[in-house]
Amino acid sequence: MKQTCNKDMKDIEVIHSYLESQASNCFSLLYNRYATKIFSKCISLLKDEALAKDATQEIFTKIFLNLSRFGEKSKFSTWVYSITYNYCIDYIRKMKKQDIFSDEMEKVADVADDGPEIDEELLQMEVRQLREVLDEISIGDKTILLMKYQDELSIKDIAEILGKTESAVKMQIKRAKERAQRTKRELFQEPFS
Amino acid sequence: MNNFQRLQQEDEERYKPEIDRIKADLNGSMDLFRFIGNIVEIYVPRFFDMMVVTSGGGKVKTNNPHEQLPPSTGRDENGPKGPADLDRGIR
Repeated sequence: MKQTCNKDMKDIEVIHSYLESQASNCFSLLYNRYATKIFSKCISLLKDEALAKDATQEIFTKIFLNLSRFGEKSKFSTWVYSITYNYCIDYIRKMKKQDIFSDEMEKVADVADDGPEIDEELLQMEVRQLREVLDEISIGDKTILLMKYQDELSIKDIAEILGKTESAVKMQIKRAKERAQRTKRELFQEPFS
Repeated sequence: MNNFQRLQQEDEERYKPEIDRIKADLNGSMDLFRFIGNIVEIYVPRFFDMMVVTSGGGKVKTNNPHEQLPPSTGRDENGPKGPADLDRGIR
């Protein structure tokens, strides 16, 4: 009998079941779990609904065709997000013909983690304010902040996805947070503390 | 849940109808991939068999049950049947 999937199964169980049975409901289950997340990331980075639609479809096709290559070294969600971010970064790079991450990411000394107060200021923004701030800052800053705070990826995972060193990622996050806070103050006319 | 995740949740609610439309398109692509996969699975080995035969090789043996002769009817299957009337056989 053909093995099928149900919504109580974990991602990895769904993947194994899909690879064994090729049952379409397994892939449908993975799609239902990740499609909205992927689409919202694409629209947030590409800033165009039609492009985001095409991107989501292509990203899922990539996932579908490469599912057997998922090595289980990381969580499935991390693997999915890495495909999503890399797709969007590559697209923007091709369009703008330049790297979205500035040269500041190269050749950086080891950076200490920021204190919790900087995180707190960023995480205390209202959702409405955060949306505007993220629309104002650069794509590179936005990407790295989404990876860190929305997807809660580790520094190691972010470094692997972006092909940078962990120190470079820490530096980029630190600068991105500073720029986000500065942008918030400019947009909402807060006095500098 | 932090403010970044709440932002994502809001976006997910907003884009739900789009997601269903993308899913319909994607299902079409998936069906096409499956169809192409099936075609390749069936016809590529046959194509190579045909190449072997046309280049002078013998007919390639296959395990496909549709291409094999049915088993010959043996003696056991065509032997004399028992009497139709059981009483006649006992007497």
